Parts: sequence; C-alpha cells; structure tokens
Amino acid sequence: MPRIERFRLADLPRTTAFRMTLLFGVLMITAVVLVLGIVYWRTGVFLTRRLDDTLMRETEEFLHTSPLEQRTHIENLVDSDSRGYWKALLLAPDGRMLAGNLDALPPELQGADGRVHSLPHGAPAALEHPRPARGIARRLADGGVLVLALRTHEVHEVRELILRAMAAGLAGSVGLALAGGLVLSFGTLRRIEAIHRASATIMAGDLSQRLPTRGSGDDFDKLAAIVNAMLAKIEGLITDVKAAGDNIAHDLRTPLTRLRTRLEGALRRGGDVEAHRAAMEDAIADTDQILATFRALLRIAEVEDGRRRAGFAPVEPAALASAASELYEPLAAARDLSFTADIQPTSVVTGDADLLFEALGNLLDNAIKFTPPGGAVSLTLHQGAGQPPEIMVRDTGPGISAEQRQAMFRRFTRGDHARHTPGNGLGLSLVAAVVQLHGFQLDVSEGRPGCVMRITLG
Amino acid sequence: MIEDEQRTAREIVDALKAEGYGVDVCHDGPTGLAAARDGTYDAITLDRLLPGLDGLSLLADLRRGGVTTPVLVVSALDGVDDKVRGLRAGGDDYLTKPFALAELVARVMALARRRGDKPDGTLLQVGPLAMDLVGRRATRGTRVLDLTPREFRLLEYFVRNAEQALTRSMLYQAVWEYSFDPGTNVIDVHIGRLRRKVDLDAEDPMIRTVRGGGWRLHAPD
Repeated sequence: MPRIERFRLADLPRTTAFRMTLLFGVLMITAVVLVLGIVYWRTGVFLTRRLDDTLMRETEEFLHTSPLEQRTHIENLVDSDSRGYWKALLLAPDGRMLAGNLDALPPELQGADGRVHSLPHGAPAALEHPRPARGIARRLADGGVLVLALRTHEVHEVRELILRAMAAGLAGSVGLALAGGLVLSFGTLRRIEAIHRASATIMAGDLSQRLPTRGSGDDFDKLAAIVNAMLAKIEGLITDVKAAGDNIAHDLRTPLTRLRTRLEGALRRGGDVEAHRAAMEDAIADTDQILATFRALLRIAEVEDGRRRAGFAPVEPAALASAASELYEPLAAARDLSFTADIQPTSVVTGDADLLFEALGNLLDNAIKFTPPGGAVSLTLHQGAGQPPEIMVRDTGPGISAEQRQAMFRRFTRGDHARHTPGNGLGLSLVAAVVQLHGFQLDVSEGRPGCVMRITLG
Repeated sequence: MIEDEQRTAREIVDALKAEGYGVDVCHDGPTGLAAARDGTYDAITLDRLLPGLDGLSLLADLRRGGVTTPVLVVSALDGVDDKVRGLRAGGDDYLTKPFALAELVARVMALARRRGDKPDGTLLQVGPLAMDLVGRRATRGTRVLDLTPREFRLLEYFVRNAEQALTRSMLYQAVWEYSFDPGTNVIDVHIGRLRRKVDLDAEDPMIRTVRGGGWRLHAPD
C-alpha cells in the first residue's frame, strides 16, 4: 500500500497556488509603485509650478506698485507672512538693501533675468537656517533689483507623504500576498491531501470510494469528476469481470461435476468396451461444452477490446443477411419452424463483416432455439428514407419479460426458458459487444407473441 | 510433428499412425527446424510455442529455405490476429488448442493430399457421382441432382476431397464466406439436406458419417 505523505508547512512554497499568489503579489506591488511614483512625480511638478506662478504674479504686482510704495509693499508682504514662506529683498541701484528679509542676493539669481530658479540651498537669511526654495530676481526700471523667493517645504512635505503612503502600501501588499498565498496553497494542499487519502483507499482495493468534491465546480471538482467517472467505469468492469468469473465458476462447475460423475460411474460399473466407449464419448461432449464456453468468453473479450475497429471495411448488409438466412433456414426447417426472409437492398455500412455475420447468426440461432416447433422466425432488412439500414429478427417464442430484458445482455444471463436448452448464455452478450463495437443500436421489444430483436446499422 | 507437450504428441502420433502415416516427433524448435529441412514429409504440424525457437520464426525460416511442405500451425492462441499471423508466416492451415484429434487428423490428411492428387479440370467424378463445374450440373448415375448453389459448393468440396474425413469446421471454412464458428447443428442440417439429395433410400450411401465428427464422401464399391 502506498504511504500517505502528510503535507508539511515547508511544502507550502512549492505549491502552485503559493507561487501564483506570489507572482500576482509581485505584479500588484509593481503596479502600486508605478502608480504612486507617477503621482509623486506629477504632484511635485504641479506644486512647483503653482509656486512659480505665485512668484511671477507677485513680481508683476510689485512692478505695478508706485515706486514710493515699493518698500512698504515688500515690508507688508514679509510681515503678513506669519509662517515664513516668503523671502523678499529690494536692492537699490547701487546694491544697497532697501527692504526685505534676505541678507544677500542668492547666487542662483545673480542674473536677475526675471525667471524663476530653483534655490536648492535656500536663500541667505539672517535669522534662520536656509531651506530649499524657488526664487526670482528682477531688475527694476530704476536699476534696482527685486528678489522674491518661496520656500518649497510644502512640496517636500507632500512628496514625503506620498512616499510614506507608498511604503505602507508596499508593506501591506507584500503581507497580503504572502497571507493570500499561504491560505490558498493551504486550501490546495488540503484538497490534494483529501484526494491522496481517497486514492490510497482506492488503490488498497476499495473501488467504491470516490475522490471528494466540493460541488463548487472549480478545477479540482472537474478533475475529480473525470477521475470519478473513470473509477465508476473501472468499478463496473471489475464487477462485470467478477460476475462473469462467478458465473464461469457456476456454469463450469455443473458440466465439470457431470463429467466427473460420469467418469466415476463408468469406472465403477465396469462393463464392456461399448459401455466404456459410450461413457467416454459423453465425457468428450461435456468437455467440448466447457471449452465452447471458454471460447465464447475469450471471443467477447476480444470484441470488447475494440482493436478490431482497425479492420473495418465497407459491408453490404443485404449480402450479410442473405448469407445468414441461407445458413440458418435449414436449421429452422429441421426444427419445424417456418422461416421467412425479407431482404431489401440498402446502403453500405462500415464494419467487420465477420463479426456482424456472427452477431446476426447468434440472433437467428437464439430465435430458432427458443421458438417451439410450429412457430415462425423471420429476418427482415429494411431501410427507411434518410434512415440507417435496420435488421430485424422476430420469433414466436416465449418472448422476454421486462426484467429479463434488463439482464439479458449481461454475460451468462439466460431466460427462465433457457435452462433446458443447450448453450452457454453468451450469444446475446456477444451480439451486444459487436453492436457496441460498431456504434450501432440494438433494441429488444415484445413481439406479442415472441420477441423482436432489432439492430440499427448506424 | 513439432510439439513440445509429450502426452499430446503421443496421442497425435497414435491417431496419425492409425490412419497409416509414419510420424517423426521433435520436441523443440531447433531440432524441429533441422528435421523439417532435411526430411521429406507430406505435412508438418507445428506448435506455436516451442522451447528454443518460436514456432512462427521456425516457419518463416523454413519457407525462406525454400521448403514448401504443407504446415498446420497448432496454437493455444485463437484471436483473429493470431490466425492471420500464423497463416501469413507461411502456414497452410491453423488449428486452435484444444482440438478434437479427429479434426487434427482430418486437416493433416487434407494437407498431405493437397500436394498429391489434386483433381483438376471442370469435370469431377467420384464413383457414380459426376459434377460439371461449368454447367453447374451434378448427377448421380443418370439422376440429375437438384442442388442450391451452396449445396453445389458443398458437394464440390466433398468430391475434391473424396474418401477423406471432413469435419464441420473444415466444411464451413471451405464453403461459407464469413469466418465464424456456427456451432454444430447448423452445418449438420445442411449436410443432412445434401445427403437426402445425393443418397436416395434405395441407393448405397455415399456421404457417410465418420466416427468422432465429420463426414466422408465414399464411392460405393
């Protein structure tokens, strides 16, 4: 018996579910990083541009202020900015500082070109530590210079916020991916383990076991359903084989017992050479019966194997039916049965002529065997327009009851009336096997009286 | 005879000797092949499963060596494929184990006869029985036999193998197209009908039953 392996936690990373989850986790994280990266970059650009706009606007406003109020304007600007965003400096044409809270012209603004520049090292101010800023310097009409700067710490703060969000999001995503992977793979492993257990029981010989399904219709359920269908088929076959085995034992035990008794009886009675000869001839007849049963069994196995499909060729049903009718008509006549054959030309079918002939022969043989003297057996071959050809064997025998019909095509099943007729009970099983091999249809119906066997060739 | 099962071999030898044949027995493939190559035999029976050399390989070797002695392949394998393979390897007939001794003897005799006097031509004659194969006419003495086409073919086979025991399965194989084992009664009633047409009550019977199964066409003395 195969050893059942218990799954360990160490196996988790090897499961497909875990790997898939990780892969999706990585993809998700990449997406998050990408999106937040774009937000980070675009936010920076946007906020900087707003600062620049403010600087430009303020410069313009200053230019429209009358020269007398310019100093006041700067002082107001600086004073009213309680949070210290603004830095400003107004220089006289001779470089003297007229107003503002900056100590000197920042190096980046020496050009005084009226455009906004980045001041990474801040603007030099007396009382505070310089912070990065955006700044603009403009030469005035009188030759003086206006310097305005806005600290960019707000931009940095926002960016930092985004970065922090990104870090938190990443940590969360990685955690989720790992946890999801674990949960999913644990689920997978549990189902595999359940399947493993069921399989082990099946392999140990309990073919009635089935793989567990959840009814959710997921991939596992589908696979399990396929395997279960296969198991059902195998179980059916094994049951058939077992039933056939039991029946062989039963059907062979009777003639073997008879054979043994006969031989023992002949030995005990002694008698003359003729008596011995008669006993031996009977014994040989018994042996032949046993061998015929074996042969029929092997033959059915051969047909059911399906390999004979390779030899399929066009077959003319009318030729087949004529030959069968010609072969069996004398037998029917010898048993005092009226035999009629109505054979119409039909389309050609594809199949194994020998097997089809044997199947038809078996049907006729059965009909003739089970119809009491004085009855009738008929063979017809017809084809309706647009229909496959149809062979029908009808008799006026005892017929087949509904429950017998069920069991009839199983091996070794013989009707109640068949108990006293020679035969091995395999004839109809062979017919069924041949019909199935060809993909044809076989139905049995009530003939009132008798029985009608119909093979639809297609 | 090339057969490794000694008891079976002894029985077959006895049965063939009773029919007046001289029989040599080999119990394995290599000695069988050597004997078959050197000896001049009327027929060979060959078991498929032999120690030393497989029966079909032996047969193929034999045929490659130009030996045309008729061979009856005897085998426990009776699938259709097995038969086809046996015949394709160069066998002239195929018999499945277990078999009735009478069947084997009849088939060996038919094979041995096949080499020798094979009646040819379109007019066949056995005693008072005459067949015209072209005119499809059969007569016994002056009496014309009214035969169906199948009965005509049956009778032709009897006539071609006159004085030989013919078993049911030999007759079925020779006269019907489909390979199949139709069981005993079916062929028997056909022979019965033919017999009633060939042998009238007042006449000396020509189609005679052979002990152990089968019939023989016998020319009345």
